[in-house]
Amino acid sequence: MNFKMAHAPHLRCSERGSQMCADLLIVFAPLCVISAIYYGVRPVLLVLTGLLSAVLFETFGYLLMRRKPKISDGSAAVTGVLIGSLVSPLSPYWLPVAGAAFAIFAVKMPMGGSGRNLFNPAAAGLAAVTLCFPGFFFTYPDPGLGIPLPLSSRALSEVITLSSPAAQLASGGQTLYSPTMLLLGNFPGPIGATAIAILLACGLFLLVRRTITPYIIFPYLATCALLAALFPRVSGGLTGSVMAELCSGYLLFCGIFMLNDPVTAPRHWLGRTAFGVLAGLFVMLMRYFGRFEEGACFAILLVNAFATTLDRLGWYAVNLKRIKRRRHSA
Amino acid sequence: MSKVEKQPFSKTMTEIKNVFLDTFLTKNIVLVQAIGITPILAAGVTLQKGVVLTLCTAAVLLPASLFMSLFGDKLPTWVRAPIYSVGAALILLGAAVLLDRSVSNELYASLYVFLPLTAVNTLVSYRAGGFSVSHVPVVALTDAIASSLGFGLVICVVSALREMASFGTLWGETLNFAIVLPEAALPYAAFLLLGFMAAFLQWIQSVIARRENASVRLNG
Repeated sequence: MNFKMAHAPHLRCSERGSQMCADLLIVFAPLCVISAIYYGVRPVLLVLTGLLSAVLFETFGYLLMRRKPKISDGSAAVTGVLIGSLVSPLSPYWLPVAGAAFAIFAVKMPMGGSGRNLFNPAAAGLAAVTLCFPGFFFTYPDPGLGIPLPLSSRALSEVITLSSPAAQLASGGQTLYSPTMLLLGNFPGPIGATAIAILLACGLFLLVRRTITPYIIFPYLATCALLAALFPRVSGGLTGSVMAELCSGYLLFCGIFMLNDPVTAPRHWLGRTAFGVLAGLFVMLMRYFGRFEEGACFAILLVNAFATTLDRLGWYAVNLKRIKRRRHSA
Repeated sequence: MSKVEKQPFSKTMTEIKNVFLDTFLTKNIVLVQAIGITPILAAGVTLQKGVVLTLCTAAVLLPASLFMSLFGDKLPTWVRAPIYSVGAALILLGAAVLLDRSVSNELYASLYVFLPLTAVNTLVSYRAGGFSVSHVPVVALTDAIASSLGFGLVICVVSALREMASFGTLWGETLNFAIVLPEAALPYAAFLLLGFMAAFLQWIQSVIARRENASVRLNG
């Protein structure tokens, strides 16, 4: 029998990987359409900028490492689209480019490229640009006006901005947005993360396609909801608080698209459940005590560091009896 | 009392050179052994602070290593750590007064708690308390110099880069950069820089190893 010697981790982005990435890219199309309805062509251009720059940077990175570029697996495209959809519709075009550059050159390529990164590149890229240019984040235009945003960045200063539900939660006020508005995405927020109904449909599609796993997303959302119910930040009852916390910011978006990244999540079901719970805890802690109104990308980076440990612990917890029996007999 | 056997020393310059190069570069104290990272992350923000911390580390590490190499094996294990920590604290007290009175009050204030923390830095406890006890004074001193230089090299590079990125200055001189990233002063930037520097060191070593292998194959 021939064994192939290779460095860990051994799960690579293979055919299955490219299929998953294709699924994710399909799902982004309706999110872009919704964003285009509210803000015009500008958000679509921002997402495309992110996509193209990530693919270009990845090709360049592979050439720099003197390896054959393999962009066809689509992981770079997904990274770029994720970064592009989480910036504000008002951000300049270089912002997703900077995020993609950090994601590819600082997080993905030094670890060895697709399938070997320890941290989710999109979350890292987003975290880096959020930290370095906080001024461009968390200022969102009013979607209710229905006027397309100007395409050139110079004309943006006249656009009316509103505080997002996440900012209202952080300042301890009352959210002005009804559940219907939240579900339709008719509230200020990042490009792709506002249309909650569409996001839920996307999540369902990906669950059915088995691109994302129920073991991560459900514990994650349950933890967030539980914490929102236990420690409400808005008046408006239990459901009001849970609804506002889960729909605001990019909590749901990150849970569907970033947390389930097969490269950086545990593989064992118990490890995955613990991973989801821990992620939910970190996200809510970041919201309650963090510097920004939304810290889901920081929380995901933090929980990615625990993935291997949780995987191993989960495996041990399930196989404890068998291990003990084997030790006993030996 | 635990008696420590001194490592054999051949009294040749080659061995001293190897000890020096090992601690300074090939097994760099910060980049490979991951010792003494805290001051780099927290206080390595401007080149001046980096240089001051390097000097303080050297001022503490050299006498501590020499002392522990001479008398360390004659002392019980539980006495060693208190002795070199208290000694280091005394030296740092002098250094702090010197810095405050005759160099710069602002610099001393900006170093905050990280100057006194050098006394209990893992760098000191690991090299003085571990390596020096089991080696003869010449080797221990070489190791202390190499450790200080290795630490100094890393903290100076990191702090110079961070000073340029976050304040647009170098040694207090304005450099007129178009873009300044104040967030580079946060610890995460230092973590990233250290990671890239460690990877760069490994890459250089792998290139050297490949060349040596190739030459061995040619000659053999």
